[in-house]
Amino acid sequence: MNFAKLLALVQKPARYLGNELNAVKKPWEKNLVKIAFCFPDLYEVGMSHLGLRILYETVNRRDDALLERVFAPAEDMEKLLREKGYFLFSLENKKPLWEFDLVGFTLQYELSYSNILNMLELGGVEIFAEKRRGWPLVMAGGPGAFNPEPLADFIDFFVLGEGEEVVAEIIEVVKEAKVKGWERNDTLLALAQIPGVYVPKFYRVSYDEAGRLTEFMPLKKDLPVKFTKRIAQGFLSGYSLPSPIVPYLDIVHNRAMVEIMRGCSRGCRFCQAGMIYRPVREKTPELVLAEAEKIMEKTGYEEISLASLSSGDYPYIREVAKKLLDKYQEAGVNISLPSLRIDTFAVDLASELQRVRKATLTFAPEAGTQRMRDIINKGVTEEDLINTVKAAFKAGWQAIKLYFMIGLPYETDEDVAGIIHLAQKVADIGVKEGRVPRGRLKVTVSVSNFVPKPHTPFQWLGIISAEEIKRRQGILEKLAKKDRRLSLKMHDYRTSLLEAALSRADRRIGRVIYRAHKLGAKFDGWQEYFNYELWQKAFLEEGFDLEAYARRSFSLDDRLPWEPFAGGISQRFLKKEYRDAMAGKNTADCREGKCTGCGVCPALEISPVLTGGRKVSEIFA
Amino acid sequence: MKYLLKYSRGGELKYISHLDTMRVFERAFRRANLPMAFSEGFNPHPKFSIALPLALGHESQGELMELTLKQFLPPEEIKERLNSVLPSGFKVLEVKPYLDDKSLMSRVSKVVYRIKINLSNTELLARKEKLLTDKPRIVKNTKRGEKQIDFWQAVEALEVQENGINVVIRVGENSLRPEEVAKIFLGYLPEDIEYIREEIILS
Ligand code: SF4
Repeated sequence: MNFAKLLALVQKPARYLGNELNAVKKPWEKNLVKIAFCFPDLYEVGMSHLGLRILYETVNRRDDALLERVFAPAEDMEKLLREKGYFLFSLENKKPLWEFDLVGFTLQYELSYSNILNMLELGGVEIFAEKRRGWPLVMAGGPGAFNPEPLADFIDFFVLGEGEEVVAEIIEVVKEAKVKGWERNDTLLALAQIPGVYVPKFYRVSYDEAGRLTEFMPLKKDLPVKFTKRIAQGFLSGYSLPSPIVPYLDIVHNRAMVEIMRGCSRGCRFCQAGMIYRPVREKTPELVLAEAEKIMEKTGYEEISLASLSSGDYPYIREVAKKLLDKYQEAGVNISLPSLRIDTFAVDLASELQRVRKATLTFAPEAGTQRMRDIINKGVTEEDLINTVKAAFKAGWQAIKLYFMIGLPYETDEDVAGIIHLAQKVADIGVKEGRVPRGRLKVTVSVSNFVPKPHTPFQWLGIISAEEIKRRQGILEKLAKKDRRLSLKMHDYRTSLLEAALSRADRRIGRVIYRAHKLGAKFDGWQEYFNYELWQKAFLEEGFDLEAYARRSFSLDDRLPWEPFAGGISQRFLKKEYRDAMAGKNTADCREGKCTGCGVCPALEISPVLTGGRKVSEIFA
Repeated sequence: MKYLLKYSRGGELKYISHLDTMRVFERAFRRANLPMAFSEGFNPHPKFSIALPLALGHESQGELMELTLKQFLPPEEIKERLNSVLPSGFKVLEVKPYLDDKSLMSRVSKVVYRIKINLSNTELLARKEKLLTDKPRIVKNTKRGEKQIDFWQAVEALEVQENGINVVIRVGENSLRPEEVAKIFLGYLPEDIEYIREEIILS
């Protein structure tokens, strides 16, 4: 293909160059295991993803394998590929997808599922797993693999959990299969022996009318009926250093990312990441500093992000941040911390880090009333929030952003109104404490719609109806309109409904995803492309009602379609959490010293790794 | 201490934008451990500026940049250190102290472009002849309404060469982009045309 010609015709050609600083272009030789890492979204989104960078480094460090990047082409590029009859290609060697041995997708969010089918089609790979012959095998991992069933028709095998170590085991199997010329099925059977790997074609799955799991049966012997996720042991020894590719384009997170810990055990009941990435493992400050230095040497970035699900919880955060700041201040480098918790320590830290006071400070109270925050186990009181924003306004901030959700279980109109009342209290503090000039004060209230996710204590519940979301959004709108200090941002209810339908879906919904793809669905996470009517049609044509499906609830005794893929989280724990939610009872964080029995540690035979001599006592199943 | 850098951009890197180029250099300065000077104020930026943005898709043999360092470094060393960390596609050709008080941007007066066109010499010469007799005026839409630009006022010289033309374009209010020059010259814009900035001429 005439690559230069293609580039001259598209917007942002730098998305497809693949020659960024530190990109690895290996020789395309015969006996190497060739993996295409596919991110089903644009370059700018995919390149901001830490998992891709870690696997890129991990695989390309080997001399018997290569891993190349493939992103969803933007509309203009897709059009050109189709018109000129070219295949979707990898960035490094510009090879079509079908020439790889493994084509792997990362499942970060449900609204990118239609892109997966589109990428397979554009890359010359048969969409349906059962129709494929020979190579490549199509695999998938990431949070979405914890409910793999909706994609079971299209993916040859799924991998649960962290990828760095299991990928090595997969490469070994593929290598042997290629040398010995194994049949596809035999390769898959060998892969199915690897812990954490699920090969859907080896299982018979059925559901009853209500969508309850009635059968989950392996068709070959010695295959598991319950999957334990993988954990990367090397993470704590610095093996998981992310690749420092420096994009030319301005991507979503354009900075050096240094992972400081994995997992979060705060136990917010709506949060899937908090459940599936357990247990907590904290790196030593020495390792964090050494990794930061290595990455900075190779990149020269203007910002270092200390990344984790909840960076303020890392015990050495202040020490590490200060050391980095001292070291790189002269060179104009900023230190940033994603996801700050709500306390004055966070404000202190943010003030220390930010020589520039312009950025907005963001907090996530999630709900407007204490009753609601107790239900979701968000261990934050109104007093915490008040003290925190007081400190923030005193420290000179003039704009604060607050994240909330509506549609949480047992939410009343009072809880909804509580969101605006809380935001108003925050604004009042700005006026009183911060002496912020009237016109400058801004409180952004960002409200998304709660979408229940598998493996959380709310997994049994459906999303509230479209009508109901609209009604509750109406309450917010009416209250916020009167207050010019508030700026209300609400999430589109239709995208939330589709997300809800897909996130708790079962194998039958694969047909719907295929039909939606045929109807032209793609980039569903992007407002400008999302087409709700198209999805409604796809559901209807396959015999489902999208909204009803998204709203379906199960009872605690039902078998859930994603139950075999809990990875180690125990159903008993989730049920206990569900009941505690209803009773408004809080559950502590196991890092405080006492295991709360989520089941992950016993299942994986590990325990949380905490720094500074902290320990969790009596871990039980 | 101020320096003038001359550098080239080629290969696939012609597909990155002006802003992206700024970022490439800022990060390269940091990797090269150059003692960058920063602007004052709320949002400190390293002090460097590029004489004239280069359009996406254009190559260049003679980009100019002004760079301020906190202390003196021998120009040769700056050049070497940068070339060892710049991505292939960018190359620093020359570094020398910049002694002028005026900013680099304000001194840009002309640019020399080589435009590669896949036509025979005779054809190219014929088109030049036609342009010389036609003396076209180009209508441009600006914020203040329509504006007419005299082609030969904007283009100081146009020479036919092997496989293309060399043009000297005046930079300023009534300026033309190389694509506009090519379009007037040919009457249309072929897909395989290439633009190479050869030089930026300062006043
Ligand atoms: S098993 Fe206990 S110690 Fe381990 S993550 Fe779960 S709650 Fe924490």
